[in-house]
Amino acid sequence: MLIIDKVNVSYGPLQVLFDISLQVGEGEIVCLAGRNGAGKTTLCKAIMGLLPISSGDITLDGEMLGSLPAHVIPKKGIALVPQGRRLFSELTVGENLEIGLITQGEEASTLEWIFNLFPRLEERLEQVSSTLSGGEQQMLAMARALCLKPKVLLLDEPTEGLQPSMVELIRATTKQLVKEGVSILLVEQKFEAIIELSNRVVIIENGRNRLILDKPSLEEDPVILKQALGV
Amino acid sequence: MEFGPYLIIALFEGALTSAVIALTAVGLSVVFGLMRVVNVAHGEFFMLGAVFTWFITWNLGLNPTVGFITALLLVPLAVGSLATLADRLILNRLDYDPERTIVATIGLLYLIQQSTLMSYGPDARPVEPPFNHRIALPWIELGESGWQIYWPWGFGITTYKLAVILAAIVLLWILLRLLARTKYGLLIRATQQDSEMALAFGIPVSRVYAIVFGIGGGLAALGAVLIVPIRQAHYLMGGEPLLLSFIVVIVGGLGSIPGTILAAILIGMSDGLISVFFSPTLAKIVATLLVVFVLIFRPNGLFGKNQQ
Ligand SMILES: Nc1ncnc2c1ncn2[C@@H]1O[C@H](COP(=O)(O)OP(=O)(O)OP(=O)(O)O)[C@@H](O)[C@H]1O
Ligand SMILES: [Mg+2]
Repeated sequence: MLIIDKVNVSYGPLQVLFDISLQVGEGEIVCLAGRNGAGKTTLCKAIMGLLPISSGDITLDGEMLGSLPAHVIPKKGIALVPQGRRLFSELTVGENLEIGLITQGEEASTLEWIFNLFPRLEERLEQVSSTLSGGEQQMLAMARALCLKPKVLLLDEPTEGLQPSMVELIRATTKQLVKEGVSILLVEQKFEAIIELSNRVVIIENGRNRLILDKPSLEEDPVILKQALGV
Repeated sequence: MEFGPYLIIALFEGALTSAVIALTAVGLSVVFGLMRVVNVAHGEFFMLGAVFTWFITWNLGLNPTVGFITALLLVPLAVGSLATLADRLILNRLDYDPERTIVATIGLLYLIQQSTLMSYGPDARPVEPPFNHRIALPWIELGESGWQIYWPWGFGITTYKLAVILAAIVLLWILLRLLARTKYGLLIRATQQDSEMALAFGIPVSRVYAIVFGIGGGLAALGAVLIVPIRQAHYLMGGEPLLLSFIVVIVGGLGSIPGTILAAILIGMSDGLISVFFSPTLAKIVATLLVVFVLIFRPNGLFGKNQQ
C-alpha cells in the first residue's frame, strides 16, 4: 500500500503541493484528477524521489521512501510512466526495456509477461524508439516501467493525445494489470475513464486536496465529479 | 625530397596529431555530452598524464620498455581517479551548473598547473620511447628505363609514431564498442538522453557522472602517455591539447563522439599538411578560423545533429 501523508513540495521558492494526502491500496486503481497545473505530475515525481519533499511522508508497504536516494526508489517496487512518455528516444525498443530490466533482475520471465501484454513491441525490438508511432511509444513507456515488476505503477496521463483505439488498448491493459495485482495511481482527466476504471478519485486543486470520492459515492452521484472536473 | 614523399610524411605527421587529439578530445566530448560540463581543466589532465609518465619511467628504476608499459596501464587510472575525485569534491557540489563549473574548472586548471610547477619544476623532461626504429620508405619514379623504385634520402617513418597511431585507433574502437554494446555503455547513453528518467529507472546518475568524468580525464592522460616520448613533459603543456580539443569538439558537434573523431582527423591532417608545407603557426590559425566559420555557418558542428 502506497501512503502519501501531508506532502509539501516546492520548486525553489515556489511551493506547488500543500499537505497532499492520498492512499493507493493493493489491487486498487486510484485516479488523480485536477486542472492543468494543479500539481499532478509534481506529485508523481515527488513519489519517485525526483523532487525533494519539504515535509510529509511517503511510504510503500510501511517503508519510508522520502528519505531514500531517487535511484533506489524504483527497486522498492514503484515505477513511473511519465507524462509525455519520456522514452530514451535514441535507444532501441529493446534497449529501453533493458534499462528497466537491469534494475530489476530476472529478465526472461518479465519479458515474456510484457510481450504478452504488448505483442507489438516484440516485433520491433531493434527499432529506434523515436521512430515508433505515438501509440507504440506509449506502450513502450508502459512496458519499460513494467520491466521493474512494480507493486505500484504511476501512470501520468497515459492516453493523452492518442487515438480512440489506442486509448482503449491502454485502458484494457491498465485493467489487466490490476487483475494481476498491480496497484495503480492513474492521472486522468476524462470523466468516463474515471468512472470506468477507478476505485477512488482524488481531486486536487492548486496543489491542495479538494475532494476524495470512492466508488459507491461516484456511482451514486456522478454530478459531483463532473462539477469538480469542470465538465 | 620531391613533393610526393613530402606529402606522405605530412599525412603521416597529420595522422599522429589526429590520433592524439582524437583521444584527448573524445574525453572532453564524452563529459560535455553527458554532463554539459565544459571542463577547462581537461588539458591539465593531459599534462598530468605526461608528467606521471616521466615520473614512472625515470624514478622507478625500470627499463624503458617495462617503465613505459607500466605507465600506459597506471597513469590513465591515476589521472582518472583524480578526475573522479574532482567530480565528487567540486562538480557534484555545484550540481553540474554549466556556468559555475566553468569557473570551478578554471580554478582546477591553475591548481593542477601550479602544484605541478612547485613539485615537478619548470623544466621540460624527455621520456624515452619503448622502441623506436626508422623504417625507410621507397618511392617510385618514372626514369629513363620506365618506372623505378628508389629510396629518397630522409624519407621514412618511425615505428613508435606508427604504433601511437595504431594504438589510438584500437583504443577509440574499443571505447565506441563499450559505449554501444555493453550494459555500462547503455546506462551512460540513457543518462545522457534523459538524466531524470534515468534516475526514475534506478540508474545511479551521480555515480555515472563520476565515472564518466574519470574516463574523460583518463583518456586525456592516455593521449599524453602516448605522445610524451615524442614531445617531452612540461607543466605548461596542457594549453595546446585543450585548445585543439575545444576546436575539435566544436567542429565535430558538441557531445557527438563520431563527430569528434572525424573532426580530429580533419584538424589533425590539416595541421600536419600545413605544418610541413608552411608553418605550425599557420596550421593553428587555420584551425581557429575553421572554428569561427563553423560557429557562424553550422553552429551545431560539421557532423552534429541540427537540434535547436
Ligand atoms: N520545473 C518547474 N519549475 C518551476 N515550476 C514548475 C516546474 N514544473 C512545474 N511547475 C509548476 O508547478 C505547478 C504544477 O505543475 P504540474 O506539472 O505538476 O501540473 P499538472 O497537474 O501535472 O498539470 P497538467 O495537467 O498540465 O499536466 C504548475 O504551476 C507549474 O507551472
Ligand atoms: Mg502533468
